Amino acid sequence: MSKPSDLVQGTLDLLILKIIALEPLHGWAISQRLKQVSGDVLQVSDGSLYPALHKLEQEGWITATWKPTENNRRAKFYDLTRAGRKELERETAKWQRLSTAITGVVKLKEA
Amino acid sequence: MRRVIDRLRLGLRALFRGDAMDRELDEELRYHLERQIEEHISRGMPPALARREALLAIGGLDQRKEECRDMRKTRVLEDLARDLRYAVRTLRRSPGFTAVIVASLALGIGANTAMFSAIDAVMLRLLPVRQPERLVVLEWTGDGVPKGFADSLEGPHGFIFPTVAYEEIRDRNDVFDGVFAFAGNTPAVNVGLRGRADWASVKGVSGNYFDVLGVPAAAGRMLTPDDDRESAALVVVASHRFWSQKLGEDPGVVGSSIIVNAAPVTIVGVAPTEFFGVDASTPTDLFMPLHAYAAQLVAGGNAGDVPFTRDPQTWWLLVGGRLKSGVTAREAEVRVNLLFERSLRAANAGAPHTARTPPVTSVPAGRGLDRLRNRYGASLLLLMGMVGLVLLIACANVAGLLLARASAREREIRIRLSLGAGPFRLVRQFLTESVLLALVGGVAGLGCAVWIDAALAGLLTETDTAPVVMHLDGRLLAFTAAISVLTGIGFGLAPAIRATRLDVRPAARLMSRKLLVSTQVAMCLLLLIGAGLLQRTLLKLEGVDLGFERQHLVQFSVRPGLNGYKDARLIGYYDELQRRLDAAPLVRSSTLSLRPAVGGGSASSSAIIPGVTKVDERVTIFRHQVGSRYFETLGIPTVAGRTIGPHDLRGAPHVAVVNQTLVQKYFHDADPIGHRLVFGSAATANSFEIVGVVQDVKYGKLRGDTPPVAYLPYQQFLALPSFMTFQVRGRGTEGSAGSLVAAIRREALALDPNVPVVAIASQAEAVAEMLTLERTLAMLSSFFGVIALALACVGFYGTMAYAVARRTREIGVRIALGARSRAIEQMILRETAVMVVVGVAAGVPLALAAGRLLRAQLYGLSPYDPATAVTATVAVFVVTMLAGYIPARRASRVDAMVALRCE
Repeated sequence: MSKPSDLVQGTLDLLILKIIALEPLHGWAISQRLKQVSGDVLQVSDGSLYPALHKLEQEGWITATWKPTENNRRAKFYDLTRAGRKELERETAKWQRLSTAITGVVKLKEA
Repeated sequence: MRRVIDRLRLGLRALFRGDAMDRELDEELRYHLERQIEEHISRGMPPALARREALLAIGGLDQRKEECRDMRKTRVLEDLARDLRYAVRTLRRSPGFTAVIVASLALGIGANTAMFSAIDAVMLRLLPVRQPERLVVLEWTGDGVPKGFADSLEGPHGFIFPTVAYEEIRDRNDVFDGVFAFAGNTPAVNVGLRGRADWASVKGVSGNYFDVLGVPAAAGRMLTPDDDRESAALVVVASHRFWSQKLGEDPGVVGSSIIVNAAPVTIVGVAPTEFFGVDASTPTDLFMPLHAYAAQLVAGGNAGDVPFTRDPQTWWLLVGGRLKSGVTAREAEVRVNLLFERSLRAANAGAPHTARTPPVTSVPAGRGLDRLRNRYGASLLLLMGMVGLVLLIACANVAGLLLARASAREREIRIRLSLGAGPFRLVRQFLTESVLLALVGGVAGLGCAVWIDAALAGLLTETDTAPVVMHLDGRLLAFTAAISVLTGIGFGLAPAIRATRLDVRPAARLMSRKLLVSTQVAMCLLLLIGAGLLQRTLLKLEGVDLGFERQHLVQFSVRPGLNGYKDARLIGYYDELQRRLDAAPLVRSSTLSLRPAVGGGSASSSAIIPGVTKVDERVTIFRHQVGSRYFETLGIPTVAGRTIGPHDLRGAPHVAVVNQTLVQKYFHDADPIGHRLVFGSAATANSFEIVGVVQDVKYGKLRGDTPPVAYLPYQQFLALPSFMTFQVRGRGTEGSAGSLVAAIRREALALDPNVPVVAIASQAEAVAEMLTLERTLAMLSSFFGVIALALACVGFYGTMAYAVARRTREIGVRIALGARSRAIEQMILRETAVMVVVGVAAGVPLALAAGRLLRAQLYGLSPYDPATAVTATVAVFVVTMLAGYIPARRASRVDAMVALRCE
């Protein structure tokens, strides 16, 4: 599987969960939103997005439904499940711990 | 919970609606692409470039799809289903190939399943009782036991106890949930069934026997402690076998009465089908309460005057118990030993109790007593080993065929590999195919197993005895499934790995096939030599010199004692029957003895020979209690002195005739006539004067040397025997033994219609029956040997045919260059011969090494018997060369032009 090289391992899941938590979206919209919010810093390749979505669906954290889109075509919309919401909380907490720790290390002054 | 259901729903969908899911995936990705393209176009990109950009961003549509599919949890199962469908299609495309493989495996797996079911029935299955794992029987061991007593029984250990010990242990222990007892022997009784004289084997059991074991009645009721009292009404429980064979499965017999040894007895119930008693190897017809059983023995003249239930000295009961939960066997033994000691001391109050009480241990009895296991265990394991070899040969066959096919599928494999299929995925695909083959073979094997089982049941069920039930159940199916899958992986793995490593040169592949075939030859030889040894053992035993002529000799038993014949009347019966038989026109001569000359077990006593044995020395002498004209009728030559005649009556001076072995062993070839043999202790001395010496004949069994034997007049040794074996020598004029048998029956029934003629058989039949085990072993091993040979032939033929096919072009060139067809034939045959020789070279030493395992089963030949080895080798050689000849012949007929054009 092609990995987004700029992304810390496992963070893609967190990003997807967070984005979907705001509102149910289809795959393309998710990819757009990712680019949008990160100001193009996080370059998630379209290739790695879909396997990640399918994995999250298999885990039972998100569910998919076919719905008409804004331009009246059919697309697969992903929504967070209750378990997914909990997972998001867990992942968020984890990320915060990790980033605090790394920030601390990075801020160390050289003697 | 919700999440579980969601995931389950997805899983099921992936499994059964995989196509729909794939379509959705397709649509999802397409939607993405289209939106992306629109997006690019809206930013002013030309459409073609927009499309290219979008595709690049996604990076290979098919790879992405595959990755998404990989995310599904059911991927493995989906693949399996796909592999299975593919395997079924492939196999159906080559039905001949599939049929050969399935047949090979069916034979291999079937034989194994059948053997497993036999071993399961005899060695592994638990008794059909409640909580069999807590069941124990008691066994005493040690040398504190009166020596003569221990010798006369089963050596320095035994399972039988006196009544006093049983009652003490039953009533005063706190370690068992119930203690039961049953008689060690299963004697025959005469029964009257609806006016017909017949006989049945009867087991004395304590009143609580069925209750403690937890065996419910199939009909009526089982015995209760109230049935087992001194003056209780006479009742029996019929075994299911007896009920179905002799009582016609009539539910109405419950509550009706039959005549047992001239006394009416009520049948109160029928035991369940699968229950044969704790000692399952001795078939039981009737279960009788101990008190009634002991009284019946006295009435039948088989037990002195005091019933065993009141006799503290007679050891006759097996004692079993059900351990209380939480009580270990060790704790129970401590308690039992105390009680045992106490009971013996109380019983011997007054008399000095010199011997130490033998220590008692408990033996797990959940699988029943192990007599059947001892008798057949070794043979069954031997056969299991043989069928294991058959399965190996079958596997080698299948592996060979798969290898050949793998090379035929080389092109397909190359294409799949270059299209990106992982080698692991391909191996899995091949394994799926071989396991599928093996499972189909396993199903067919179950059919074979039923058939082979029937033959095995014959082995384990000598005539009407040994009730071994074999049935297809979960364990058996599990076993078959397990060996099917294992063999599937076993024979499939190597070819599968081979197939995916394309760098292996075809020549190497042919080499490994040839090695496989040589291995088959080696294993085949191993089996055939084993089978040959067993076959020759059987022949030797069948033709063994009994020491007397077996032509026109018919034997049968009568048990008039059971019908109330006693003392003078009993002797009168025997005399009269002998007189009537002698007078019959077909009969040359007749005689009687307690046991038949061979096949009736043995009896021995210790004795002193005054003037020969040292002080305090006792020698073991085997006995035959015989009537007049014993030696004349059997044709045993007299060496010195006289034989036993009609004047050697109960009141006459006691005389004995001894065999040559006795003379050699104890008299060192000095003249024994006039010496005395003294049996019994000083107080009960029973002295016999030696009046004659006869030649040795086989005693008791066919194997082994003749022991020292003394022939005593049957009237002179202790109590009069209440049963007797008659031996009748026909004139041989009327030809058939059948008319002689009919004449004997007529005479016996004319004398007393209520005394049944039992076990009537010609001497040849009697010997044949003694050899049931040997015959079945020889038969089955030969059968497996032939299967192995047939399988090896298939392997051989396949390999050679393949080799020839590969070399069609080469052979064509040779022929075109002028090679004679004969030379081609010889070239191919030479290759065949090399494979056989390699196999034989490996197989013969292997067989010789394995022959040691057979030693106990053999008679009259060594495990290294050269004749057997040579015969087996020649057989393997001839048959495999024949299998190789057909391809060789075909090779020699190759049309050069066709062959050269074919590539």
